[in-house]
Amino acid sequence: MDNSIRELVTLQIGHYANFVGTHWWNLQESSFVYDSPSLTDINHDYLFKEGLTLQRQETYTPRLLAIDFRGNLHSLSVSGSLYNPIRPEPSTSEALWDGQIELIKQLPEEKNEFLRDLEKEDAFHQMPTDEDKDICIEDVNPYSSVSNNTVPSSHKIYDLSNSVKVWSDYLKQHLHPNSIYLLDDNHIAAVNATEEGSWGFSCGFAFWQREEVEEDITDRIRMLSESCGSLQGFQILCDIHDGMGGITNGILMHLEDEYGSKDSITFATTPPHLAPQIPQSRVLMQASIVQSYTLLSKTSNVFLPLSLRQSCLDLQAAPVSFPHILAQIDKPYMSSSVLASFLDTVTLPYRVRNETMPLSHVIEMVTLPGCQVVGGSLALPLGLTCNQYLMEWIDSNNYPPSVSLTPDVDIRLDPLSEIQIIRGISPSRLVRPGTKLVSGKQYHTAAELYQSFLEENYIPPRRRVIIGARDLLKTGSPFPSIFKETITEDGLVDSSKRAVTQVNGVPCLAGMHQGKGIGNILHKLQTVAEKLDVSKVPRLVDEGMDRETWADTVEELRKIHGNYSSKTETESSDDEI
Amino acid sequence: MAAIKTLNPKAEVARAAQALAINISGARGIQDVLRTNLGPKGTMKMLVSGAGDIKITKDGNILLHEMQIQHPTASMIAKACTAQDDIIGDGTTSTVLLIGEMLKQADIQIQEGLHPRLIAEGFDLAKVKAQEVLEKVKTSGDLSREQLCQVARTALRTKVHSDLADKLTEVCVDAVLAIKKDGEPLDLHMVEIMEMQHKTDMDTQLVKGLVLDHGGRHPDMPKKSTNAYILTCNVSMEYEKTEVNSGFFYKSASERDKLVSAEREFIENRVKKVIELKKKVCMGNDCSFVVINQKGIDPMSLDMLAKEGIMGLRRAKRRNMERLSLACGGMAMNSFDDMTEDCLGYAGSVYEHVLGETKYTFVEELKNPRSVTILIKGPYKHTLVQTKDAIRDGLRAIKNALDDKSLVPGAGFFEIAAYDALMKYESEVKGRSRYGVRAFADALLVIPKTLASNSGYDSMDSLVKLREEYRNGGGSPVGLDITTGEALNPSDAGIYDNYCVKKHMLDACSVIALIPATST
Repeated sequence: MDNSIRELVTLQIGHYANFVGTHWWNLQESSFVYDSPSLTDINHDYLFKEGLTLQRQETYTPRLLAIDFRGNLHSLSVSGSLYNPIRPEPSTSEALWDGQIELIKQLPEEKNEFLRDLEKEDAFHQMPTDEDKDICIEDVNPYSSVSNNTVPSSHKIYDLSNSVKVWSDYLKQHLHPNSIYLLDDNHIAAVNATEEGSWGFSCGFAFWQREEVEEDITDRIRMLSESCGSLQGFQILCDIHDGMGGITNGILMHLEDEYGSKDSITFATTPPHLAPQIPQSRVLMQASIVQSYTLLSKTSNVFLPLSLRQSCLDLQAAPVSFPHILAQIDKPYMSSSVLASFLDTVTLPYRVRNETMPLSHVIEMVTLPGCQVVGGSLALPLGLTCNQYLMEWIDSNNYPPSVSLTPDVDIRLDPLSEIQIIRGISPSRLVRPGTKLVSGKQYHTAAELYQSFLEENYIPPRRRVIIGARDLLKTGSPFPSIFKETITEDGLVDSSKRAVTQVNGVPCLAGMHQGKGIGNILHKLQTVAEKLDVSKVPRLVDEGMDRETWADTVEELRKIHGNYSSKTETESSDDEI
Repeated sequence: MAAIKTLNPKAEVARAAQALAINISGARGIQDVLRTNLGPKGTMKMLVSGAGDIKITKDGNILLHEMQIQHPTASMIAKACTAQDDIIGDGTTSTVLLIGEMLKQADIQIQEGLHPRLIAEGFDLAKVKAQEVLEKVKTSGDLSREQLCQVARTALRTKVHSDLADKLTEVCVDAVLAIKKDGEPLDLHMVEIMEMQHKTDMDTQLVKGLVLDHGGRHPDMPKKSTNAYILTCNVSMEYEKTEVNSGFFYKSASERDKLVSAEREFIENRVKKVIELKKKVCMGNDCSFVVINQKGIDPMSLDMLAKEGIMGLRRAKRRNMERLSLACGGMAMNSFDDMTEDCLGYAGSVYEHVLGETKYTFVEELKNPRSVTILIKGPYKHTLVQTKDAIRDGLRAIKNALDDKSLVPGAGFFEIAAYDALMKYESEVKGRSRYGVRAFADALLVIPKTLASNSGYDSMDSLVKLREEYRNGGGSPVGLDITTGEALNPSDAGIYDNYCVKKHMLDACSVIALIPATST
């Protein structure tokens, strides 16, 4: 056991959060390097754990608790097939009953091509390695013909954009049987909670307070943390547009209570494709978002809202656009992949092999007391052209080159501090050979180069950390094809290229930002919140919301906003009191 | 025109008789689905989802949830069931059957031209009368262990096969009796239920102590301790972040290391205090020492503990803190200052059992355990769940019996008795509402009838036998013998139901059945 590993537990709460999370775990799995660890900068032991099945098979699964609704898994079994192999024909004799037994079978859920191939691959690996048997199987197994030069499913190109309905449709990982917790929508007062926008924050929080729900969830978190030698904290991915925000609030309060010394970083997602038509649902959704921003940013050390929508409350707002990504990516399967790329990159500081930055340092860098809301940005792909060196690219760009992923936040506005992560640039691509460097400097990594450029040009903010990793963001299947046709296989820009190719990996840049720009989003929320009259929205009243509670929320929001304006003022101009 | 039309033009509106027909068909629909579940001879359902998840149950409440119910009346009944399940924990199938039957009987009368209001009146009168009967037939006085076994067995035999039911009966009753304290409400949380996926369901057992689902996380820690002092605590033994750990507060790496080691020392001192106490109490005897911590213990602290032969468990359940002090004595410590021997609990034996990647720690041989564990075993996940559901219901049945301080003879006796009383009462009722009383009485018979037909006997035939036997017996309990189809005495056969289940059933049915019948 390596004592220096400081583990993190990941919680995914909500359907869209699980879409993002699934992409993220897929990205991580495709960056596994099995033979020589020197080729990668990422240490996966921070987020994954080793285990053992009852059949004494070793496993490597994410330290993860994913919460979703029953019925949202489709073809995936709750406990997964890793520890309990699914038997196609369950026998009624297994039931502990001596009377009549009625077997009621649902039709098996249809699996898409990707899942079918994964299953084949699994079956192939689970085949006994007995030599004789191998030969017999040779003829029947469609896979064995290519077994010597196996085409792993990540190299095959799939078009899943139409077949993916739920996140389990493209989940590559096997999860631990305790990783998925399903909520029973029968306990929710609203008729059908899976329908969009039909339950809100308060309803979710009330749901969390049900004894069995709280007990089950806290116990699973406890089991995850028990297995960690020195847990450093929790990463929470949650939906904030519906009741899942309330559940997250409950979980965060529990974490604060039980794991007070641990850090937590919350990534709050809102799906860009949801735009409820009924005005009531729209207000309910907006109210949930306001409540989530207010309460979750209080209970979490970092609250980082993520969405591809340009505005957090205007549900009709246009999606943000990236220079090298297709415009039509509103499907959850595609939009979540962009957010996952951000996550995979922005979490690198605390999971790289060398010079790891503890989560608590990350938090300290990007937050101020009372200012837990943080903005995120992403440049995907970086935008380096085929024959460009990083030095030239930096010179040719406006700063910063990335797009804000936090709605309503302009990261350029009076920045206070930031962490940026640049990945996937090999040391040979930094400076064009023969270029004269100032004062005989030498750069070994992209991060070094980028940092010194920013410092030499006095680009604000002054508090800054740049982290680098050599690993590309591996975008093989089942990562959707979201890139424009000008992107090459290695993620570089070739403007003469015309055909869309499968992109295997891209360099990219992601950042976390703190600054005055964040205050704007809070101001916007506050304005909307002040206008809302709770008593005129029956859906909110049904959930137990009343004027006083809402007024408290607004007051709290005002306070947080106040923190931003006062803090940023005193920091930027010292003569003010 | 209905006001709803202005809000939603697509809303379907049904009026009067048509609406009633819809309501009744919904209730009858779910009644038909659940009919076969009732009783120890009912049909078990094995549900296999599209993804291969298996659920074995015949619990009315769970089945109603598995069916995605759209019908408004049916979903209302399903909600009533959930409420009953939350409060009482049993009797949902009977409630559904009774509601369906009441609507059916009401329908007959309404077809004859009786106004629903009059039926409602009759139902109310009948309910009051039926509750009087319930008060009369219930047993009174303190419950013996044997009686608790009987009520638990009656409940369990409808959930699992009879061999296992008999085994679980003993387990549940012993568990409850172990944690019961006179004059205090029973807290079922003090019975821990733990699952282990191995062996068979018949290996399920009661552990007079605690079983924790985690173990020592250090290779050199003892796997077994005898005569162990138990320290339960909620104190972190983990290296934590310090308040000033960022790069801005120190100038060099050595300065940073100094800060880190200072923090480390702080934690080390805590561990040393535990070790000191261990040395003090274990000096010169063959006792050993176990630390069970609600907070974390990091590898370095574990190492220190292991060197002293101390077994250390981290991240115990919050509730286990309470359970541990009830089971072993001692108290849960929130700080290591001023610890004395009195704070420690005692266990004769603490040992670890490894199953795959999960370690189980057994804390056994306790002096006077007030908290116990039921350890469920079975080869598959779904059988574990089935057993667990059964145990929950068994425990609830015992708790209900203790809370009520009374029982009702089962096997359909109450329904027969109430029917008889109501038929006599009918003639006393003035006016047309007596037809409501009759409908109520007729509806009650659905329980013995379904019991008989599920066991493979002619329901009318059995019913006649029961009623005759009851009239001849002069009020002594009469129930259906599901093995012969004849009458038996449920008190002699040891078949008892919970008083509160019947009482709640009457309340729920008469209210729920009225809503669809009268709201037209």
